[in-house]
Parts: sequence; C-alpha cells; structure tokens
Amino acid sequence: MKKIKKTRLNGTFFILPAFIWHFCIIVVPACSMFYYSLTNWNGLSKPEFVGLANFRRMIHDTDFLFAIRNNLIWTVLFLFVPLVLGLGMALIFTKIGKIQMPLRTLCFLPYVISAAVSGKIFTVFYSPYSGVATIFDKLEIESLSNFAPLGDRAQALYAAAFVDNWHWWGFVLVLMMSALHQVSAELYEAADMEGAGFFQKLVHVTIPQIKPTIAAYFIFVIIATFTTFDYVWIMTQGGPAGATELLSTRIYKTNFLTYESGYSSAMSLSVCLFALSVYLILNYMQHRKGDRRE
Amino acid sequence: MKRKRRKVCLLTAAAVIVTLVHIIPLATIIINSFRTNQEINLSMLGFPKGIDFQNYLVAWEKGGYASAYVNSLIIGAGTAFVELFVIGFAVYGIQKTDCYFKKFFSTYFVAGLAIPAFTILVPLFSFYNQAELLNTRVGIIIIYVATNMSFNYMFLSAFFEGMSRELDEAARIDGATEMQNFIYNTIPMAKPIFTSIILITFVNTWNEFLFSNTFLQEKTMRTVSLRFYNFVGSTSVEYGYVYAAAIISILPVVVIYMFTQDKFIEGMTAGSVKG
Repeated sequence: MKKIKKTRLNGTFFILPAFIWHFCIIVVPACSMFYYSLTNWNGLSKPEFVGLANFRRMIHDTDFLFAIRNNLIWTVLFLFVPLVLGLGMALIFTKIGKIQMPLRTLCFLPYVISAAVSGKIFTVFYSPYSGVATIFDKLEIESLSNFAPLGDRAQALYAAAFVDNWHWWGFVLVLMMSALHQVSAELYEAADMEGAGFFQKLVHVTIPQIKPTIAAYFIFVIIATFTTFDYVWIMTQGGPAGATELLSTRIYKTNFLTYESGYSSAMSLSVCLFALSVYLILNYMQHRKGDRRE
Repeated sequence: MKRKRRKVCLLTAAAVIVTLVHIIPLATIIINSFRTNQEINLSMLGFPKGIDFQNYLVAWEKGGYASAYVNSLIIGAGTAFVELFVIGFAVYGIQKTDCYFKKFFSTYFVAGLAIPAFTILVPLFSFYNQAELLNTRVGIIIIYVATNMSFNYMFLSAFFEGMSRELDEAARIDGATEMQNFIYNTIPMAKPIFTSIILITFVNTWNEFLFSNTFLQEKTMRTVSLRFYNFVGSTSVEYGYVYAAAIISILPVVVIYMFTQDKFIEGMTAGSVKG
C-alpha cells in the first residue's frame, strides 16, 4: 500500500516542473491583469485603484472602437479567404499524382519564414520607390505606377492582410489535404454511381466529412485574429493615420508608448475574455452537435 | 479514360501555376540577393550578371549577423532542449504513471493553448524590468519554454498515448524506478518525436517576434529576425543588401524545413485537425 502511494507521488513529481513553470509565467501574469485593469498603473510606480474607470473610458474611446472595426474586417477575411484558397487547392492537389508532394512543400514554405522577414520584404515590394510600382512605371501603365498600398488609408489594411494570408494559406492547404485523405473513397464511388457532379459531391460528401476540421479552423481563426499583431506592427505599426490599427497594436502602444499600463490591461483583458468566451461557446456547440450525431 | 487523363493534366497545370505564382516573392528575394544595388534600383526584376556573394558579405557585417546568429542559436537551442526535458517529464508523468490529479493536469496543459500571449505581455514586462531579466537570453528562454508548452504537450501526448504499456509494466516488476524506466525505455522509443519537438521549437523561437521585440531591445541581444527588422529600417536604397540579409535570416529554418519536411509538416499541423 505504501509502495503504491510512493509511485503515485513519484509520477506527480515528473509533472511539477512543467506545471510550476507554466503557472508562474503564463497563469500568474494573466490573472494579475484582473487587478491591473482596475488601476491607473503606469508600468513602474505603485498602481492606484480606480475602479471601473478604465472600462468606462474604453467604451467612449474612438481609437479603440475603430480598432474593433479593423479587427472585424481582419477576422472575416481570414475566416474565408485562406479557407477557400486552401480547401480549393487541396481538392486539386489530392486529385493529381506524385507531383503534389513537391508542390505542397513549396506552398507550405512561407509558413516557416519569420513574420519580420516576410513583412519587411513585402514592405519593400509595396514601396513606390523599390517595389511593384517601379515595374508598372517601366511598362508605362499609368494607373498602377503610383501603387503604394501601405500609404493609402483605404488599401493598407488589405495589403497587410494579403501578406499574412500569403504566409498562412499553405498551412491551411496541408490541414485540408490531410482531412481529405481521411474521407473514405467508397463514399465518392457511391456518389459517382448515383451520377453526382463535382458540386454535388463537394456539398454532400466532402464538406460534411471534413466538417470537424473546418469547425476547428473557424475556432482557431477567431482566437488568433483577435490578438493578431506581427504583420501589422512590422509593416505599418497601425498607420497611416490609424488606418490599420488593430486591437493588439492599440494595446501595445497604450502600454509601451504612452505608458498607460492600467488602461492597456483593461483593453487586453476585455479582448482576451471575449476571445476565450467565443472559443468556449463554439467548442461547446461543436461537441454537443457531435454527441447528438452519435 | 482519355477524358479523365486530360482532366488530371489540366488540374496539374493549375496546381503548378498557383504554386509558381505563390513563390514569386521568394524567387525575387533569391535572385535579387545576387544583383548589385544599382541593378536593382534600375529595375526591380532582372537576372544577375553572375553569382556574386558580395551582398552577403556586406549584409552580414552591416546587419551585425555574427552576434545575432549566436543569440538566435543559444536562445533556440536552449529553449528546445529545456522544453524537451520539462515537457517530456510531464507527459511521461501524466500518460505513464498513476500520478495524482491526472485529469486536472492534462486539461490544464491543453487549456493553456487558449490563453493569448497578449494577456501576459504587460505584467511580465514589468516583472522582468524589476528582476533585471530584460535583454537577457535566459529571460527570453524562460518565456519561450512556457509559451511553447501547451502545443508540445498536445503533440507529445498524442504520441505517448499510442505507445505500448507492456515494457513499462515489465520494468516496474523488475524493480526499475520511474526515472530509470523513462531513461532506458521511453527515450529510445520516443527519439523521432523528440527530434521533431526540438526542430519545431527551434524554428518557432527563431521566428518569434512579439516577445523578442519587446524583451530584447538592446542591439547586442537581438535575434536574427529582429536584426533584419532593424536592418531594413536603417538602409534606404541598398536593396541588394536587404535581399541578401533576408536570405541570411531565413536560411537556417528553410534548410531545416527542406531536410525534414514530412516530419516538420506533420508536427506543425498536429493537434490542429483534432481541434
């Protein structure tokens, strides 16, 4: 009896280093946000309790509201563009022969390149002095020779999203390819026997079969896009004139440029709680559906 | 039959064209890294006169890549090995022993995936500032080990679940301690997956931007990706150097990826399909 207790204790000791490490670096700071969001902390001095003032300020902060709008655009873009591209190409890739492997490798390649490099290189491509615009200028295509999307308030957000999508859709492709490989061939044979066309097979066989992957994709995108930071910060830092400001860049600036850490904490906490609750709700819905089907 | 072959041909052509368009930016970087600044300023697209590594030498010097490589290698390797140890132990404890609170620990590590990095940035920065851990390699390794933990837990845990338990039982009956069983039984069997974890963690830290940009602001401590980020801002018309610096910055991870692609892709997408 004593021996069993000892092995159980030994097993627990194996877990403790990772648990304590993760708890101190992730959970403790995350929980301290609840406190800081109620103070006027500047990051250095002793925080002073101000109640819900930060949250009241947030509701009337037009910069913050505009960031929400940009973030929603970003989220909608990433819910659909990489999915259509990735799934569409995956459908093609799984129907061609061995050549799909080297092609898949190349499509995935941008995913392993750091955001700092792809972001900055595309800034060079987008620049009117060194980028694509110079080519149009040479070709004397007047309308595009001033092409400078990062300097244009209407285009900058989409230009940055384009780069993030370029980096990411290869990942979605691989994800969808592995999902498609798990769909049993018999289902397609049966559909062929019934004389189903391409779209009928897509709607009635493929999509229902890979539904769990698509659901996981949606959940992931919602969580990830609400705190997306790298590409926008690297390419525009929220500019020109706030046109590409996202929640993350707003939070970052509030903390590291104007030192309003209390307010920054309040915004960060709201965004994260929102993302988390969406995650939990969607996860719950997905699992409940799964149970019902069984 | 003939119609089907034609269809496959068309689809192959479409796939090849999309892939080629997709890698135009990368091809441009490679080609332009061998052209002089003047050539690039005259025309963004064009072929180099020859293979000349002059741009690379200048970019390496100007960008301070020697120290950046040392930093990135120490941080990447340090994080990867420490990560492997702590997470290897944890998964072993949860999957292979009758530990206390098994269910809790398992849920805890998976749930960690849903905590966005932004929640911890501000408090951690203030703490690091007071503890004088800013601009230190150890400091950033401590963060990276924690932020990579949940993903690696899921990845490794899926593998351990599929391992046979008979060897463990046999070892226990022979009187082996858990530590001996871990070292002599589990490690040899899990070697391939451990390699994947090291490679993926290394690449993740090499590419990471948010934490490194915030916590390593001193020039001498900056990693390779950060150096490139600063380098582009500092030169205005020397694009030959910029393109060469880009290649210098991505070469190690691209080489790792090219040589271990299946392992890599499998590891990177693991867990995502399951949701």
